[in-house]
Amino acid sequence: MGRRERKKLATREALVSAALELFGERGFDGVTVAEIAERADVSTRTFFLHFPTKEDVLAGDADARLQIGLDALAEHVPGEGPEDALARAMRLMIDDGRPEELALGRVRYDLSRAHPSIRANSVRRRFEAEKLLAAALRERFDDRIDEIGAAALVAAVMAATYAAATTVLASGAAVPTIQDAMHRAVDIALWGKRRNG
Amino acid sequence: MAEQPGRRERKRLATRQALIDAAVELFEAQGFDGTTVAQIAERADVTPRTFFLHFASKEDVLTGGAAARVELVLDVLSAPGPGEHMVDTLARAAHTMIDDLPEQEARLAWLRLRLAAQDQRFQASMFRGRGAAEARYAQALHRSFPEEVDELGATVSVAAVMEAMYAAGLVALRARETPEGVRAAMHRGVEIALRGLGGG
Repeated sequence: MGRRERKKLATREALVSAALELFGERGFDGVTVAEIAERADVSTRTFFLHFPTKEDVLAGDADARLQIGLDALAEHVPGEGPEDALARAMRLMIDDGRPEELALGRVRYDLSRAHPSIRANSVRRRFEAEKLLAAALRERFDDRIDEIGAAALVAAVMAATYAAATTVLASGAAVPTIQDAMHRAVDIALWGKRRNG
Repeated sequence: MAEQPGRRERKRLATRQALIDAAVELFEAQGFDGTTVAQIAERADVTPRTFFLHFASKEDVLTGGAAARVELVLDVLSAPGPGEHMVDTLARAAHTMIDDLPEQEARLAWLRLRLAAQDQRFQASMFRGRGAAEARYAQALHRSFPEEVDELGATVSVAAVMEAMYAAGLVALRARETPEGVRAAMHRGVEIALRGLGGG
């Protein structure tokens, strides 16, 4: 990683921690973008170079994680079918989370219950991610899967994974449990029968 | 004095249907924001007060019938056929729900889609309603198959089938398929999720 890229990441992380501190002190609504930027010691303009809205800070590295999934789907692995490729992409995305990122998931879940704008942001991001993953799956397997097939398959796996994460978050469980549950969801959604014998 | 319950229920349903018809026509002609509850009531030839006996808001008309469909799905999930596999009960519930969609559902869904594209909060609240219904389906499925599936397994299976169904329907809806085409796509979405879950 180059120096410039490292600096960029450090600023991004500083913005996320500043935001979390401030949300903890004053609640999500009581904090402005200008205040987050000030605490992270950068300009408001710099904030907006990293995040389009205050809600997006809570998504953390979601865009980078999605890119990992899209890259995985573009890769040609001999003998792989659409389900195999999608499972591989999902597992890479699930395992990518740094501990800070996973902790962010907990904060996002807790805050989203009282804040419709955070929920709206999460829903929009999820649909956008599903659209891109389905398009990537089709591009890779255009002779084997049509638009409806790709959309349904991606939606099934993503919904299963989100449902698992939400269930575990709602129960207040620890972070490794969340990743385990998400992996189990991929297993259930794609390989139900084979796994159950 | 009192009317027969059967007749009263029929009249109630007819009024409800008239309100949905009127709302769909007005939403299509003048947009969702440009339509008032008073206008919907007037076109359906009832008072605004009657409107509010049936629907809490304009938004509620757009998702109208959803509450009844949730009950229908719960009925299927709570009463599996003899020897029926968990996954097949789930699929039967989804197929039953698709077949029960009213004729205007494709038009209503199209209106919801357009509105959701303009209004993130509407999209989120719609999505939240779906999540709440799926949580109830998962509980019912787990209760019907306590040996076969734990709570997490039930939640995951329900989410996969329902969201695959909606995603497939959405592709067809965006392609401006006929109501029949949208329904066929939704059935296919269920089958795709079902294959993954190891049924079918």
